[in-house]
Amino acid sequence: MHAEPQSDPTAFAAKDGADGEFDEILWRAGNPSSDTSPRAATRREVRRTDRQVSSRRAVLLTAAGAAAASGLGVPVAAACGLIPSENVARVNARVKEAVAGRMAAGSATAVPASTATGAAAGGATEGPADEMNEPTWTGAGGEMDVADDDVPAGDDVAELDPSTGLLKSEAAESSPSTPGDIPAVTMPISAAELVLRRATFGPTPELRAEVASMGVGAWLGRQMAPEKIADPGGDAVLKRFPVLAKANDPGQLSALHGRPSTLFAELQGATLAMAAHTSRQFREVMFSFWSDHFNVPVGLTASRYYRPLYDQEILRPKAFGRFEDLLIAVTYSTAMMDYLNLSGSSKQAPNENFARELLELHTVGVGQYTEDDVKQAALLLTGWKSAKGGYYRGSTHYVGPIKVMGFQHDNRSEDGGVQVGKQLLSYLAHHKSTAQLLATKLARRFVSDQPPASLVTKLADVYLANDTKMVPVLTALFSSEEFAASGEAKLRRPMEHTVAVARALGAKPGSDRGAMIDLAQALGRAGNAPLSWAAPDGYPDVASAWQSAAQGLVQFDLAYDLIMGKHQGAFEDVDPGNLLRDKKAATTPAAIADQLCTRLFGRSATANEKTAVNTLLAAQSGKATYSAGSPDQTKACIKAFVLLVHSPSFLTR
Amino acid sequence: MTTTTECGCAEGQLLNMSRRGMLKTLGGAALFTAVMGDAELAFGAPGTGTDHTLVTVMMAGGMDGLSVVAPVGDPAYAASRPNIAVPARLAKRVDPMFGLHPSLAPLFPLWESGKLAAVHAVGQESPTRSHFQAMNELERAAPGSSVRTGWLNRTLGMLPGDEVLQGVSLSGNMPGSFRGPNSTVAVGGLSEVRMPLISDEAPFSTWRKAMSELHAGARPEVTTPMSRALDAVEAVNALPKREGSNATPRARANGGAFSDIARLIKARSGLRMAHVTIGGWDNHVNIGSAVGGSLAGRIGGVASTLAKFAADLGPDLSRVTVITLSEFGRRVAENGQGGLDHGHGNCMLVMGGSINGGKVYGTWPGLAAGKLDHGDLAGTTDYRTVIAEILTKKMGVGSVNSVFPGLATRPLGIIRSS
Repeated sequence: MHAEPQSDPTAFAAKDGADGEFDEILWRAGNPSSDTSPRAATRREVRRTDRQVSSRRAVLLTAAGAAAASGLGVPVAAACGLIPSENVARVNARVKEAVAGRMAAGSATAVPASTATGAAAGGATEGPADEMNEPTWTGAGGEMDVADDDVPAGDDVAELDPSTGLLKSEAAESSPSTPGDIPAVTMPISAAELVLRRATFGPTPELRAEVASMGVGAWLGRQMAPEKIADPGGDAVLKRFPVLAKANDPGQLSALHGRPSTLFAELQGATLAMAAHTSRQFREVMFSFWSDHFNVPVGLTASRYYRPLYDQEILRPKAFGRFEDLLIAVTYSTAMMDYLNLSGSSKQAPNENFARELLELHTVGVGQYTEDDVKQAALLLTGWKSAKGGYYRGSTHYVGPIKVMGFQHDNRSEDGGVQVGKQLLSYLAHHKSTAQLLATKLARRFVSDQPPASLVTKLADVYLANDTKMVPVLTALFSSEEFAASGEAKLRRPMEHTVAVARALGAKPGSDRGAMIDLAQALGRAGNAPLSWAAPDGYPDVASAWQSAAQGLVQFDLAYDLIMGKHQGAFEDVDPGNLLRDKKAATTPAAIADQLCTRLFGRSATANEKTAVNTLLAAQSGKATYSAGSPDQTKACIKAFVLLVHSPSFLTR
Repeated sequence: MTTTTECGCAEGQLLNMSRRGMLKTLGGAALFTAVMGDAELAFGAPGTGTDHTLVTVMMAGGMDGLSVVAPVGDPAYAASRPNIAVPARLAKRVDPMFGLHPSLAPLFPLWESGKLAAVHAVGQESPTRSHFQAMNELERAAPGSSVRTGWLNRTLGMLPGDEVLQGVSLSGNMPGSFRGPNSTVAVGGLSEVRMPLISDEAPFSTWRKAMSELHAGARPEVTTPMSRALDAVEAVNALPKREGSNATPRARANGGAFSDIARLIKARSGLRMAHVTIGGWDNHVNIGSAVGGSLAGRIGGVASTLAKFAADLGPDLSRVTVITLSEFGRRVAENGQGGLDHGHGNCMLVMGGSINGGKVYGTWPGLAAGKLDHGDLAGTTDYRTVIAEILTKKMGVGSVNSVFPGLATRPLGIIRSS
């Protein structure tokens, strides 16, 4: 190993004040009223660069610190069942609106005055963000009658009562026998199916049965207490990939894998395998969310040793906890400290790299802080040395008064640096701009590229009123009308598509790590290999970032390879013959289409899907029927499957 | 194969990593084997503005520009590298300061005919010596801003036309410079631009029809990646068949990526920007002598590949410009193992039929102790300056600020005014 002289850390950190834009903004090409072409997006990005300074002064979107905001009570209180029975009708009614693009029309709007009046309940004021003070953010819980533990205990799960009448109607809706043959490309999606598509890496027949038996609300509640879920699939992955199992021992990891590049590839493969096989699917989805939010690219030398620990001891276990705890753990993690140069930042040579991303990406967001805030935060976070992955040494900690936005501290002692730093992080975690940023990102992840302002406001309020706990926020999200109306609004990213294909195939954990690593790295051709986004902001989560031919080629290629068993070893038990539930009935293209769509979507084929399958199969075989179990039937099934995983219903989640 | 990072340097291995999956799908590892190690490539866009193609060759790992174009006239050069300096007597002396590495011999005729030039002491703002960070900054090419797309993708956004092969990575991996909203293709070779079932099981036209029926009425952002993929397959299928098969397997291995690029250029497929990665430059130990050493072999491999590429293009070389880039150069002084650690400033090679070649451009800062940047060659010319000149003079990009925000550029005069 060689040293990597960061010859002048301050120079490296000082990437100037132009931190204005990042992809959340620059990818926002979907506004129907503007030119959405990629070229226009490029031009916008560059133009924006020129305007950075002024844009940073963007007015703070009032988070309407209204914990008791009107309308909030209904969905949240109802969250005991998550999707209340009274909502079922509304869900169905809204599906059509969603198809009509209602969601896309959502745009940032002013917070209604009525919600602002509720501010007193949360103690928030209408003043500037930096006026937030302690009484606010330790705050007043509002009137949540939802579980106020960050992780519901077993009893709480039981309280998330499925008996809202939803159970039966949903079971019926997702039943294969449902006649769902609607002549539009976008099918109404049952509430249960929609939850499964958003909260997992891909529904399976087994998951549908689980939800049907326990109710979607209880299912989601249980998923948010992942430690209580038996996880044979995840255990098999841990067994297969020591890189995760031995995460807490970087030294051993090094000995295990020898070359760091091997270790890095192992982690990519393990991440892909975990997404495919863990029963704690929602946690894995949230892991992916936090992994982007707190991105530490695995390509860095140091992060190859510390990223496994980061994933196994911080991002996964704390995925559903308080954001404040997560933020503190991430900030003081070796992986993050090493990546953004907190290690080595001292009073003599403070490094602003981490402090800037802390404010811009991790918490309050662009436009909410000044350059002075960055410098002050950097000073407060000094004292970390880079040796051995980083440790605190008070003698290099800056001592003296600190002011970051509305946070002030005398910061008098060298030894107190860590504690004061935590207080700053706690302040930021409870800041209403952080609430707004996280609510936006969560809504973007789970609802729409352009999340409705109504939903963002609601989620931000829940977040602030619940001491930054994630479970209440996610509960509010999944029980919202906006969520229910958002069917097929989110494009699957390449990795998500490939994992969903594997899950639809019923693939089981394979025995060949190398084969899984190959698969993970093949996603690099689509620009989406696991953990490999190079910048601190994580993979973009909007469709406009994934419009390349490259993505189409890779997704098709991998889907074909998977069903043909070319990744045997990465996945096992892939047998195209098993995809047909009733081979005797699958004698026509239409019947094959129906059976495959039932497996893929929990419903029968749409008119478009049937037409397309018919076109494909008729052209090849020249005959319209297949005998059960014949090679012709299998071949037809393979082709139809590869086609149908490119149905809009499968390209989206 | 392939991952010939001599140093065991972790980041070098990442960048040049052997990708087993990629090889598998290549239908033959030939493309990546032999001298070149990993030829990863990606290319660019068509358009109606001009028919020029920019080929970016990424020398991943940190090419030693002080060997490729050796400052044999700088007394500190030989003194800093007592065992591994390119001896002045072996270099092809091109001016009082510089001599070309003897392994570049296949390119000497191009130098003499004005089709090959070098720029020395190029650098980037980021002072990092970390492969990962330096590469990320190089590909982002927007220091001091928070633009997070890559420069090649941004350039595609500035070109007219929307042909599907405007941005193609033949690298088997999408380079960071391709990140962004404009469509690109990333494959290990043109033979990968295909859909297996399409050729094996049903005619392409049938798949195309079925996909379009499947996608009828769906939102474009959901269906565009696939329709572009189908366009790409169609475009590649429409290319004239490869001429002859006289290329030996070895020659194919060296230049498969370049052979694909030449094929696209000659067919006027609309290719505007191509990107190839050639790995294996992270030479921390035993680079060997200027004749027969490991670095000499690598340089020779590149030289013969580029020379063959130029020959392959023939008169079409006039609408092609090739540049080399590397995330950083290497330290001036050799280390204790006959190798070179990570440095900063570097040289670029520029090849094409529209350049004022036969000359070393740039401002030489010197190698005397006081002139160095932490022991390394200082960067006196921003690498983006060289690219900017090509973009404005040959590619039809009006405002280079749209690609390189905030770059104050003064053309070096590499491109011939004609």
